[in-house]
Amino acid sequence: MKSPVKPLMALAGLAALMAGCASDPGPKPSAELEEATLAVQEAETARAQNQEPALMEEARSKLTRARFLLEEQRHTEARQLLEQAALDARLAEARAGTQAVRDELGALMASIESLRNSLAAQEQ
Amino acid sequence: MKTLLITRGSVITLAAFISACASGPTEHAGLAESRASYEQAIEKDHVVRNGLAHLRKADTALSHAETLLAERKDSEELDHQVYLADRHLAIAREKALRAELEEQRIMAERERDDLRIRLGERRAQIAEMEARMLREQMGRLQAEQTDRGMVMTLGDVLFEFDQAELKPASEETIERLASFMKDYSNYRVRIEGYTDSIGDPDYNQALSLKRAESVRNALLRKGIAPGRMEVAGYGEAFPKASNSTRTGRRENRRVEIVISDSEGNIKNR
Repeated sequence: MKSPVKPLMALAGLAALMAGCASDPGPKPSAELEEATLAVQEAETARAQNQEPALMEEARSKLTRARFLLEEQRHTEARQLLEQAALDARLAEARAGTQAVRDELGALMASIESLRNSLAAQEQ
Repeated sequence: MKTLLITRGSVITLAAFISACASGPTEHAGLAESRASYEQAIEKDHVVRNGLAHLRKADTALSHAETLLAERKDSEELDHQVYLADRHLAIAREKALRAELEEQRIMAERERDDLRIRLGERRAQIAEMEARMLREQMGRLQAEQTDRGMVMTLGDVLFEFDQAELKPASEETIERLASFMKDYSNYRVRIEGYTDSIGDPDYNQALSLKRAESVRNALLRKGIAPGRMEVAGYGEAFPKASNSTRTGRRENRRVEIVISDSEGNIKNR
């Protein structure tokens, strides 16, 4: 399988080295892509879109940019964006979870209030 | 203080930008801030208890960033690691907050259940009290429990002989009945007249109906709505006692007031 690809890759590597840290391809961040995609999906399931639209938008746009960078073989930049996207989504999910409990607590407080009023009315 | 740090941070970022990745600065405001907030977070029990995995990842990212800073290289990766650390810290704090809210929710659920039980008990108490009051009222009316419900009997002595008019002596009885009907507005009554078997049955039937109507009119005058009363005249039918004796016949000459259930339903003959 000798092909002209190898010298080309070496050349590309050299170019990358010369360009310093800007365009180091690094290993392909497959696991990071998977985790970021999953994190965004799970956050959407947890209704994070309603609670944290800005954070979800950030996660999604990083994911989109990362996919584009992956096609360009810019693996390091892509990995960073994917790692960030995953945590943006996880934070949005966590906040949505907190808000859900806060809502339940609010409903409980309202029901306690109304029960107290009923009880006070009965005591008269 | 915070503003100052941010300004310093921007300056450093700018400096890092200019010097590219060749030689980084020896301090990083964002990193220092992030490390400080990590130190704060691990002091808080509930954050450690609920966000330990994220605290560990924050620590790893911070150590990575600190190594990069010490080696003065790759400022982009450094910023990235600080970003990750900040996110992990935020998630850990969020999980701790959620756990706190969950605890509050459990307490609130307990309180709600307790209140529901107390309210149920109180309502049962009130219902029982009302039932007792009703029984007392029925007792005052001298109503008796029958298979048609509570029945109050107005004896022959309350009417003029062979007449439909109520005697003035009936006033107190009528007043008690009217007052009961005003207190218990869901209840209705069926006023039924009866005679003994002496005389013409048609005449007796007419007389029994007129007597029932007299009672209804007396209640109307007390302000009871006509829709809450029914009248019937049964004449000689349904005797309570034997018509062959004087006392039996007297017992048969009567007006019965059948009191409905609490929904206003009355069983007909």
